[in-house]
Amino acid sequence: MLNGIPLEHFLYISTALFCCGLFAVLTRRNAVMVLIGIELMINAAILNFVSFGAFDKIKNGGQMFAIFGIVLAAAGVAVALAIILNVYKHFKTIDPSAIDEMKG
Amino acid sequence: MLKTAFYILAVITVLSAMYVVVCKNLARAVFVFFATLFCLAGIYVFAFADFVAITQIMVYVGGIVVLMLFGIMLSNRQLLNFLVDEKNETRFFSLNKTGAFLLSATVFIGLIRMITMANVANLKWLKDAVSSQQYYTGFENSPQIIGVQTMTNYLLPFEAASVYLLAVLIGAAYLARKKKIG
Repeated sequence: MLNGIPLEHFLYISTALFCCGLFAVLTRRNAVMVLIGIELMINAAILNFVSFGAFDKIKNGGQMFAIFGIVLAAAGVAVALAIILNVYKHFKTIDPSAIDEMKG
Repeated sequence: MLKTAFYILAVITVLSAMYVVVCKNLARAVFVFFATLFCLAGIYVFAFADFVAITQIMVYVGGIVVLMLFGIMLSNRQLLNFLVDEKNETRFFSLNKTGAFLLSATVFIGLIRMITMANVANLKWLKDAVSSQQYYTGFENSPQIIGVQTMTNYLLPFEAASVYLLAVLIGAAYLARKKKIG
């Protein structure tokens, strides 16, 4: 199975990606980079879906939900970037710590 | 040969993800993120998910990276010599780089430990799948399986995703519209 590659190695890659994303979300000061961190974490989850999905070709749940995950991530990025551009118009910065009010 | 290709892809994926996270230059970070996603699509192919890999390339590399470049260019006037004023500012999560590194390293070690303890190669349902020939061998037509499953078992999430996409389309257009015309 899996071309002779152990299943754990897929999970190790996904763990590394998840922790990179977590680091980006915690430290970056630019909302677009925080968004990239979130995307890395979503990709780690999709990699897990896909690697376990290789063991189920009848119902194929892993690959199906990987595709749904990609769709949700793409839609989320579109809305988040629209919000970021609005925030930039209003505050003239996209540093998440500088945004301290929600009044339009 | 296959294994070598897999491990090369894995190393490029992880190293480029780390570079994205620490890189100071935003435009460069987005282009390296592009490389991460591309190599990740290669890894999906190794898990027999051809269709997911192509979807990843079309949606992420073709759509999301371009959107992010737009976002950076529209929101950052000094794209190449951007401001670095790290002092005297509060952070979103009030964590400095060391604290964040320690936290993510702890999560990393915990997850690795969990994966080794879970002993995933010997899970019961995986062994059942192998003994009942349910695993991918590389000769299946995975887009066909996905198409049939989308229209039968997973019809409800598919329809929910379509409604969600419509909502996102309206929401993004509403947020990005020009306010106060005239």
